Amino acid sequence: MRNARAVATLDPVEAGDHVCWPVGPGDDFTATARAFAADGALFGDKVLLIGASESRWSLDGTPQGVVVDPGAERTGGAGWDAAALLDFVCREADAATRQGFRALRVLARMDRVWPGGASPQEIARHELELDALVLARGAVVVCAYHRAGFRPALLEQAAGVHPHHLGTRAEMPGFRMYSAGTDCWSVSGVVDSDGADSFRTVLDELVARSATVRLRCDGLELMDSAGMRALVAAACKVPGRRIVIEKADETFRRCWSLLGYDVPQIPVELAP
Amino acid sequence: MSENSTTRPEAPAHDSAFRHELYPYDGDAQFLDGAMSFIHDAHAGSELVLVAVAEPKERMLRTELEGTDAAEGVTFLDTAALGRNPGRLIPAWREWVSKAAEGHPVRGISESVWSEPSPAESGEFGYHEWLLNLAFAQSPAWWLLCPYDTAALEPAALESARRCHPMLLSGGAHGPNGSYVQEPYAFPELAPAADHHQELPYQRGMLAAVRAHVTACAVRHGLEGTRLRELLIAACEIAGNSIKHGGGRGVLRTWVEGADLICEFHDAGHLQDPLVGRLRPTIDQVGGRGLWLVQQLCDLVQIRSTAQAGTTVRLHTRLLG
Repeated sequence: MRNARAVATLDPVEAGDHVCWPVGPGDDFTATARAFAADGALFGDKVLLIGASESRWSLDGTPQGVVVDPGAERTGGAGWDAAALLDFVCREADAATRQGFRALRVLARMDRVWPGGASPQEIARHELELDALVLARGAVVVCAYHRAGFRPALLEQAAGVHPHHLGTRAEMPGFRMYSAGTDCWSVSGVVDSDGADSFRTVLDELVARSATVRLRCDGLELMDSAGMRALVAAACKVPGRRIVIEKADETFRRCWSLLGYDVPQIPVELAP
Repeated sequence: MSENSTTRPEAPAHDSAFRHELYPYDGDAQFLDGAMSFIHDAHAGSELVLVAVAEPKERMLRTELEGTDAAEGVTFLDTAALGRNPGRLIPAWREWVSKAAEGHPVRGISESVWSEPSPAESGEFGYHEWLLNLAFAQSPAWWLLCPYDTAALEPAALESARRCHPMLLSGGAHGPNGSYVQEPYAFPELAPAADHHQELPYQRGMLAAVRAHVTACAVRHGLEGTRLRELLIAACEIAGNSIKHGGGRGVLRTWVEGADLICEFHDAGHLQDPLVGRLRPTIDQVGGRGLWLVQQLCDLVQIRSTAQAGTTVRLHTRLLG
């Protein structure tokens, strides 16, 4: 079972990890990326670097590596975008398995994937799909979001849809949502009014793609009325859709009831 | 922090069908006389009665009612389940009064459940009494008798009650209360914060810091588990209101006063609706859920809000053991 966690370095990442790395001005991206690729060689992983062409240096000593330069691909008329990234990761993960690698290990510079920026919805949609892929294929994916290329609200949105975070625990986002199986997503941390908009964005994406969305809340520490309102609004937005809350604690259940949401008109069900 | 009481909410004009009656009594025998007479009158008129009193008074009334026909029309509110916070009483009475709309005339008997209320508890119960006139200004006709034990209560509490009950039961007679005044509620000053209080200024993005501050103080005093989680949700709601509606920032102060952990939030906002948080939200209601939740989760909530001084909210959590 996956658990949300913060990691101080990329050394301990393992198959099934999907790490958000908000790259600050003080971070040595080159050194970290080089070490990440070298670890791939050490552990028998296939390495995929998605970034600028100058990142080829990172594959020094890595026998099986692939470098994709989204900018160059676009120039060549390939129409490279976030969807292309997903397709590529999917293909390479399958290839890595066929070729006998332990796993596919990916480091993606997201500012190169979205050179013109991205909306919170685009980030949520892409990362949710990528996370489901990481879990299903047992890949290791690190998404590097350079702070210079994404404003804080977008970084928060991105961090909220990764189970793992490179940095200190204090820097982790309030909540994390990540895949726990088909149409099932783990919610951990805190959903409060600071994070309710990001939470709603993620829920909207999930509700748009599935008739029933299961949210496992055993890692949820707390949800306030803004978070619960987001749940209700997302569930009601698309007729016929339903959200099932699993493993909610006593406090969640009490607040849900006190707020008057335990009525049939609201398509959110608290599983026993 | 000084409280400016010059722009308090206006009192409702008393021309409603709600009969809000004070019953000052001295001792258990007089309590029983007045309450039983009220219940028998209700029974004679086929009116139902909801009784919300402390457990010893409930026991006395149940004994008196045993074997009588009047007992059938009397329901006792589970005040223990409802909690001690008077901020939760108006919804219970509204639910009761809704029976009147279904064709059942109703009455009620309501007395503070505190045997020895603190000044904060006494003040909030007094405000609740004042708010009843506002909450039921447009309601169907009903009659609420409010017994006050003159031997046990502080004179100030009794004086406050005299000023906000339009009707009076005295000497066995029901009639207008000459001491009733239609005026804004005179909030008692908040007691000063303890000298050893701890302070945290907060703003957008700092709700985690607010929770950490409250948790540290709560854990030091043995508060944990469900009660701590409920307090943290209440703290999130109030601090979130400061950020959204109170100028984007606020100051949190925490301390222990008697058996209560106090979390005080102050911001520059102004709560203009005196009933905010006191009415059960409807499904399609957009805002107003936060303070409702806070009233349900905390043991006592004190709110002071004026345009000049901003808003101060004190959350009381009883420290058990």
